[in-house]
Amino acid sequence: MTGAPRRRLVPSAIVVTAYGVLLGVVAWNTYFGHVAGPQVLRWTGSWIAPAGGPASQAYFRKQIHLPDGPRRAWIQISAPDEYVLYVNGWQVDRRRGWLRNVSDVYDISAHLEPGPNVVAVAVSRHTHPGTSRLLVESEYEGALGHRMRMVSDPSWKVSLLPARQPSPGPLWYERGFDDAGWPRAEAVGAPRPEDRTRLRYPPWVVTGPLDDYWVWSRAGQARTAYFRGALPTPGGTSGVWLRVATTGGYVVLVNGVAVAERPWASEQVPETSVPALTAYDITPFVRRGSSLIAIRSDVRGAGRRLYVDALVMDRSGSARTVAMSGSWKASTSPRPGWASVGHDDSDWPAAVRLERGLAPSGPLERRLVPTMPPLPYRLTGWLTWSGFVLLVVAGALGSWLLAARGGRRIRGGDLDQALARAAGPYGLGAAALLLALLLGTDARLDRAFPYQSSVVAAALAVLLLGQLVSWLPVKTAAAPAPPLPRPTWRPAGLPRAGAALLVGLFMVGGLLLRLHEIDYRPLNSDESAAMFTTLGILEKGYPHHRISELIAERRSHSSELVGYPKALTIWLFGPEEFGARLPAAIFGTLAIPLVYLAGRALFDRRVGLLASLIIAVLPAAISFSQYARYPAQLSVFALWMVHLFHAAIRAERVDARRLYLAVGAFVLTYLSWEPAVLLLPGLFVGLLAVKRRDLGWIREKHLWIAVAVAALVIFFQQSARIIDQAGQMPLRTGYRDVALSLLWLSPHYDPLALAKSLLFMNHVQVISALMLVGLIASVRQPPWAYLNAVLFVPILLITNLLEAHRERHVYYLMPLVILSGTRAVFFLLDALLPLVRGPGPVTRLTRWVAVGLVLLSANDHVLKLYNMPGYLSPFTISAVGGDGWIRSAAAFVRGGRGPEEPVVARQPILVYHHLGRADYLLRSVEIPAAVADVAPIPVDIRTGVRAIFNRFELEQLLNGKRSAWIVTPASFEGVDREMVSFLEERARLVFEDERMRVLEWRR
Amino acid sequence: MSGDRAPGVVVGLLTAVSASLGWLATPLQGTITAYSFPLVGVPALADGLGRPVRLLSFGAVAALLGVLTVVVAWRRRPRAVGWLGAAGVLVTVLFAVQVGLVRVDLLEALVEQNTQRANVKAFDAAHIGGNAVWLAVPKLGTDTVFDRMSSGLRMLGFGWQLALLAGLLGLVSGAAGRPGRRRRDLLLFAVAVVLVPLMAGSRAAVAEVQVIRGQEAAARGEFDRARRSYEAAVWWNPALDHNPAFQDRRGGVYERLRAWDQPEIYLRRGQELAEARDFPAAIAAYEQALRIRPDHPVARRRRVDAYAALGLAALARGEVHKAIGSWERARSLDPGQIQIAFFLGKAYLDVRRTGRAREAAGAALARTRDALLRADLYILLGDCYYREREFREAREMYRRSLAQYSSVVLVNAMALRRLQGI
Repeated sequence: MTGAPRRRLVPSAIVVTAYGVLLGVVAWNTYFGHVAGPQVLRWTGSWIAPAGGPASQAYFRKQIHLPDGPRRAWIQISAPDEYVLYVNGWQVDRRRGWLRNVSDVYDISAHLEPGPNVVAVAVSRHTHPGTSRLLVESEYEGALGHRMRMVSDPSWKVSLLPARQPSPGPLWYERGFDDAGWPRAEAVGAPRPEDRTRLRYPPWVVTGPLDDYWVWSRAGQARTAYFRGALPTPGGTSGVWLRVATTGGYVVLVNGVAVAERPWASEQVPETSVPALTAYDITPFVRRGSSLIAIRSDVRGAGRRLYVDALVMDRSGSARTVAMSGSWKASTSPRPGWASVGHDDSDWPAAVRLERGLAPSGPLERRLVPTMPPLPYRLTGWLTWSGFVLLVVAGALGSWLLAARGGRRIRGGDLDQALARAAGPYGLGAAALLLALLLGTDARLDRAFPYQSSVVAAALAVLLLGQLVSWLPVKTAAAPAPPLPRPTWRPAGLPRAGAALLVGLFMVGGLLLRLHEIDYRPLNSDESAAMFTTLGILEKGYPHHRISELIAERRSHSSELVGYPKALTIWLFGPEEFGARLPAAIFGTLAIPLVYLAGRALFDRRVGLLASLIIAVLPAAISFSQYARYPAQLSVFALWMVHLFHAAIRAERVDARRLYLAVGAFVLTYLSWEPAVLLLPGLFVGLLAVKRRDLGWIREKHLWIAVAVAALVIFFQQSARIIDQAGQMPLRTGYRDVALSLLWLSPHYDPLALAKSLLFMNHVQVISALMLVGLIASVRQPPWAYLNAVLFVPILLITNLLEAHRERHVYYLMPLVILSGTRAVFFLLDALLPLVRGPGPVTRLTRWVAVGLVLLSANDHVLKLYNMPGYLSPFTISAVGGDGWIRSAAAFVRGGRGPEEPVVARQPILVYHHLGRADYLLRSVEIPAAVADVAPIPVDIRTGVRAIFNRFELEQLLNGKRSAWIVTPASFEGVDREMVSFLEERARLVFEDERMRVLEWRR
Repeated sequence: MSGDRAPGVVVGLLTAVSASLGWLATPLQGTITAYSFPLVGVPALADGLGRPVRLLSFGAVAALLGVLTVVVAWRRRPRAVGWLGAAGVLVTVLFAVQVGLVRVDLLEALVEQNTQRANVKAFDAAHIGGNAVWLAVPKLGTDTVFDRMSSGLRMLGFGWQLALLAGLLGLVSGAAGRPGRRRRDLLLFAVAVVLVPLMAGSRAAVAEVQVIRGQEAAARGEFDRARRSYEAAVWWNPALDHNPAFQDRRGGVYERLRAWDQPEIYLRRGQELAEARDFPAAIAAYEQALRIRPDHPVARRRRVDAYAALGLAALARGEVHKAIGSWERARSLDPGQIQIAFFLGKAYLDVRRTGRAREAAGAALARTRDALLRADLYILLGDCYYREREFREAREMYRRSLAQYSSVVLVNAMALRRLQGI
């Protein structure tokens, strides 16, 4: 073997090692490790919902009468997206999720009392389609042993409004509230398996009765007692949970390992009289057959006792409770080593059984605490894990060698060639394992999904099959194999027309996805403001608006160009959601072929094809194509500029025509959103990355003319802004006027802000990770280095100088991320896979599977990878948001408002757009304000309506009116607390959905 | 700049930026700039808080490495870039060892600052509603060596991460730039990565092993063994004396052994009493610990914290004068406390002793670089001047408050309103 072929075998070895590592991890977690699977909840009730069609939120109430105080009471809840549980006015919990039924189980014994009690649940649905609904299962056990069950059924009352009655009076979830006027809920079917109401822990932790005996040592006065007992743990257990209750402290040791501790109280410090029940997942510490549970308990107070029971679950999902009291032996002065498995406890007497079940002293405090084994144990665990993975890697490498020798006997050739050929199936196996791990992050599956024997078997079967296929004799094998070629995989068979056809298909699909439900959500506040600016174009020919007479006409100075395409569609389709968002959808669709062209020009056709397909289906790309502002348009112009500039500079001499086209694209980009000017430094560094040692560009006059043109555009645009705003007195600025500042001195500086909101946005994580892997390799490839420079320089500058870090602010860099990531995919495939000789079926399949994995990770139409670590927001998920909120609120106000009744709004521009009227701004500190032109009064900077600052002004305003309407977001966050309390006391809530509230004021 | 210079220059700039980033802005912007944590040597500890020697600090060394890397990269010495990258990695490893294992005392002082910021944040939310409610207060634990390492690295902010990244990049680019001798260089580097932390933290590592052994013995009820292990741990690393979790564990063992002459028993007891909000009893327990060992660092700190909490409890009951009494006592015990000065400033203003309020606010201003805290302190000063009818000075203070930070995300609404009103 010569040195060069050996070096070429390094990537093959990397592929085999990767397979070994992945298989090792999956096999360890399947057979030795512990990844807690979900616990499916059981229900006897049915889903209940408000009658009369879908509702984004619903308020459920149930009154129950309890004959005596509770010894034990639990409630199990499930609802789509979000719920808040109240018991007798106490907020027990609030849970939130997206596109799933959030579920949990609670011990509510501390909140219940003899007599009437109220359980209330507010459910808010943030995703569509569907309605707010509720599933409840509850059990109560009284002090006298009386048991009662409660489930969700039509006996529950439900309302679409959280009313207060009479005003001011008890809230809807309080006991004093009279729900006689509320309709009954409607049963809408029994829960089904696809509802996936699951928990990470067994509900037994909370719901399981305490049926065993409390125990202590024979020396009843001893403050410290040592217990040893055997817990039968037959093979095949999937989980073992231990519950420990006492008033004092304890240490729990499982098979000699201290896994949990509850500190005991010092002298003179009062001990709690209520026992605390704590549950621990001890699965990783138990052994097959039987496990030793040793407990040292310290109780100083009068009630010296200890309660322990366990739940053992097998792999089939069935569980059994294990009463421990019968097996306890207790001592007060054990010999050293008392907690070890081999310790002789034959001289230990049996523990004394005290009372059985719950003490009448009242409810327990229940907690779920993770186990914390000592450091040496954890270190040993890590070392064992690493050793196992290394063993599997060694096994994979050994099998690779054997497979190569076998292949060599069958197909001939030298060992290097055989090794290269044998590596391919490992790539396929690794891809299969990666697919399983990817599925583990799907919201519909559980995280333990990849860790099952069938996955391990599948990975081995794929490898075996691949090897068999690679051993198949090749008909043309007579000629000696040529030396290992530089690996390539080019879609040579795909003609240009074929690629164009594919891109056309992507465009059609992308357009359909972008047009689907484009008008489902009402225009939000920013989109409404943009709408008025666009209407200004239709009125006077330039983007502006003026709503109130109190301030002058307000011209757009940050996205001047965005309004013009919209003006056309609004003129054609009217000032509604469809007309406002259609240009974004069109620009979003145009990005698909543009990404293809840029990918093809910078790299090759396959990069262009994959990148364009990704941008067609990426949820964020679809979301921003349904957003009536700048991101979609900006991303198209920005990418066009980056593409043209590279085309202009890649040759030895600068291509003047393309350069001036790039300047044109820059002007379009800059006038679509000012802060995109930070792409310019990126282009400069990109120029250096392309030209490197060649400094001839300094003498290129066209380049300097282009710089001058760009500078002039910036100068005139900024001058226009300064001149226009000279007469205005803003009280504070918004993002549009944001200036460069030294952000690293800010208290909220986050150097990784864009890593979250751009690179590790949900569904982009895999592409970004691949892009980061490819960073080093890109240094030696000028087009790739150029792309990364244009991407990372703005990221660096925005992170440190510009306070615009939300996903919409940086979305225009997304096509560059996708292009760079896609390039990395093919770079890695080219570098690693071609070691298998020739385009055999295994290699081809591996490539397609790898590309397919990347594609699957980039959309949520097939897999819902919401559990993958990353930045999740409504922009990154399909089907988030309702069609109601401001639309419904405006319709409600329109139906009830008299002609002279003023409207007070927290978001006046939004209310003005949907309702056609907004008279006052209920000011929060977050909303930019200005000083009116005609009088020294603060006004909303967008609409010019007068701002109300405090309770005094609000009272003065409302007392002067007979009636008024207050339209506000559901949360009063950021509003003066006195104003909020005034409104809550004096105004009547007449409408509410998950995002908006309408209050009616009557004098 | 030519292509072969670029990687080295980027590495150098990154390293230098990491130093300045950490130096100028860390999550904690109090008296100690976390980035100036010393690499070697004993820092001078002034008035109970650390003022490390900056010359040999992590930040200074990182800055020096950055400048050197740029110079050697410019002179086209890729191998030297690689060695400087290796040095950057080593410095970070050395730092991690210092933070997690050795300098427990300084780390505890930093954590204490963080706790004070958390207290000020809670106080601000309850009584002022100013800017400090936006303070980012990381959760920092020091119970185990991993907690300490994680806390130390978090307090350094992103400086060390950049330094490590730059170091690794330097290593890679150096290795790529000079293929010869790569194996030997790699071996040398691996030896250094093992040896440097070993030399820097060997004693402290032994101490950690003793702590773990002590914990295991205590869990099994073998308290004599636990005591021996814990005492050996302190012998190996006396700085463990500053670690509250360790002291509480010791206290628990001593109590089981009924060794009533050990101060740690009273420390643990005081802590439990403080958690039960019985602050006078907690203070008595700490006093007892200090009678046995007057210089006990944890007892001294906890006593001040208990007085601060006692004052807050009094304020919550509306007893402002009692609160002032508690805080004055706390200030006399530790004049370096930022939280106490902050609380006192607000309380004195409430009882119209504006001169004293200004004095307290000024003292707090001198001890913090945290923009949000300073913004509130300037508002406090402005309010004092306003009460004294010194409107020009009041306006100036509100303006200074506004100037502390400019952000469209955070709004200094309080200063804005005051300025509008004035």
